[in-house]
Amino acid sequence: MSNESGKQERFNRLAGKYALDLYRYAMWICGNDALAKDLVQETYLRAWKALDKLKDTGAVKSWLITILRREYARTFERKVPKFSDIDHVVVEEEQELQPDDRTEVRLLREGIADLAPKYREPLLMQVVMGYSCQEIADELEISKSAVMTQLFRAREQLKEKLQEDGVTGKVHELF
Amino acid sequence: MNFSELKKILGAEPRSQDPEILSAIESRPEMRAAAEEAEAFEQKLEAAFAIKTPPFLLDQIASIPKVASITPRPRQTRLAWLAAAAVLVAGVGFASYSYYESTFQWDNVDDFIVEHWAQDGSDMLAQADGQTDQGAPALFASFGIEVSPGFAERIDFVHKCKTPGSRGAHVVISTENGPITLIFMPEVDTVNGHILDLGQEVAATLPLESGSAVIIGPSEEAIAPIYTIAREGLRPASVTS
Repeated sequence: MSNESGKQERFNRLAGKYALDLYRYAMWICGNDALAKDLVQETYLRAWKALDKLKDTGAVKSWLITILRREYARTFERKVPKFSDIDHVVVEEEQELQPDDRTEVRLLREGIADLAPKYREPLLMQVVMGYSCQEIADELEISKSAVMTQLFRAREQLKEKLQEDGVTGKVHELF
Repeated sequence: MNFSELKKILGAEPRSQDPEILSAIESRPEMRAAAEEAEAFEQKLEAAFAIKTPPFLLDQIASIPKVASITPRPRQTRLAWLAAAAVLVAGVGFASYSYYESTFQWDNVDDFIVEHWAQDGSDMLAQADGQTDQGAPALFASFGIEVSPGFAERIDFVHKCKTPGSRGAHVVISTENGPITLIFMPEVDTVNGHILDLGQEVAATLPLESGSAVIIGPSEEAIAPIYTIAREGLRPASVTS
């Protein structure tokens, strides 16, 4: 019984600590709220079943992301779901932004949704999950320099989107 | 490191702590300005990525160990979660239900919620409009449930009703988002945060220390606060000596 309750406590800590980031990650790779929730739940179900095998508690985050990515790939290997829900998703602290900033953030969200997966996913890992370039390279099984190129191009495309939509500001003066 | 090289690095790692990059940033004003611009853009990017958490996500995840122990995991979809929840309810909570089968005819909790809401939901909301009901503590006491004062003062209307397995309670609660309905089911066990789409409303199941509840309102965001309050506010009555 104490083993089971210890496992439950360990699992609850995982859920509390990473669930929100995992949901955000899932939402941004599949663009669909219901599917994102399913992906997160499936990830945690597999994590629960394999929890006893997890030895390195420092690797939990990458472990969960790996499970989620594999689950996504397994589910959508044939058909990528339509990116439909981002416009309807509420952004945290949106009300605290100035109107101009809110416009930029909205445009950025559209731009992120339009990014090719090979640019969006490294950016997600870096910005949402806090991965270093080397950690992204390890997860995606590509070189660190390739990751840096993809990250640079992702940001450039997003900046171009802001410029195309007529949003100006200091952010573009030096580029 | 020249300006162009720094820009490329900042485009990939705007918050790099590499000593060589930090040194380059501090070496010239235009380098520092480029780093500040990259940081400003990064903050907007973080804001763009910051999606609000769905209200019941943590509750649904917390149910996973229970669901995992009940049924082999089918392929994931939300239908699979409904199936798992139905299995859990059928396997754990319906021992008493069979006794009342002839009177209360629902195959599962979802059917009960849909039918009850269709028949009585609007009527109860209309009856509750403009009311305050102080009879909740006594009514819930008949189920062996103690209602906290904080919860009781929010109740506009309470009425006994049929639920799977026994009589339960239909409660209308006033909130900032308008009236929210709670149906107390003394003889039912449910999973956390099982969501049911009722068309204009959503329903979420809530396991309690004794029995379960289903909370119904216009959206998950609207019912989420009551979820927590009800879990804290409806507890088995303490036995005093």
